[in-house]
Amino acid sequence: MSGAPRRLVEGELVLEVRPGGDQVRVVWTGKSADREPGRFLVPVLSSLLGEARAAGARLVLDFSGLDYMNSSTFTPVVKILDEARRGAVPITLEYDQAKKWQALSFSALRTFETPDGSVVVAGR
Amino acid sequence: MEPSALELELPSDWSAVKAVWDPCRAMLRTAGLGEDEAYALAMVSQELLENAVKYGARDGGGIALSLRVAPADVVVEVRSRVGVDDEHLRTFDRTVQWIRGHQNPFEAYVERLKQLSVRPYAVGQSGLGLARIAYEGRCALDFYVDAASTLAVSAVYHREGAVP
Repeated sequence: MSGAPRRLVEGELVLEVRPGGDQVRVVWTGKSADREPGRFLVPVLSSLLGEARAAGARLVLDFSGLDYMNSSTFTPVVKILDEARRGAVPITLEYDQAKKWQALSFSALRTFETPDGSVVVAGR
Repeated sequence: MEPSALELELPSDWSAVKAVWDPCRAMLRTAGLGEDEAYALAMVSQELLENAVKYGARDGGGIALSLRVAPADVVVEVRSRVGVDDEHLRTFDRTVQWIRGHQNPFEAYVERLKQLSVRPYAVGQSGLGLARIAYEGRCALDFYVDAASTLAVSAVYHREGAVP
């Protein structure tokens, strides 16, 4: 059973968690530019992955509305991709192809995609 | 066209990082760069500042950021006092050389992402910011340390369509 919709805020970063159906969707907005964003993101993303696993759902991280993320923010993101792959929890990263920085940064993350579709990095 | 320039004197704390985005982006747009180029170079400025704040001397008396736009290129330079930890400077040097050793900075960026994905999470130096500057910012990195122990790190972007 998935949890309720909720909003997590850290500095200028907002995560809207929308569980339901076959996915736990997390919509990222604002900016992630803290000195150590992993202090907030690592436990939050790990918990959301556990929530998706318990619900038998796909974890969808939607970055398309995000204005900026510093390089330190990518570390917790790639860590959760690895954790999802090892734990056999399906995960999708969505980004906005029309934003050049997102197209460049997130297309590089396609290296983590798996042939069975359990890890997907999708531009839209 | 006359070169355009922005010089900022900033404190050596995290407030410096937050303070550069808007003025850098505005200056770059005023100087005629496109929205995507201005965004990428503001990111480069912010990443260089993050490094200076995290690893420079805490009592170093501030950080200087210089942004120069010329017809052929854009140069971002950040100057800060070298931190007490020489190991950081050696790691920095190794990371810059490692990035230069790749024919395409995309390869360096992806390789560093893969390394980070399987490493236990640790607060601290990842080297991803420098690889991102080279790949996403399309900048060549260089640095020197002067006699006064000031580390000057520059990122040079060759403008699209510019004649070398």
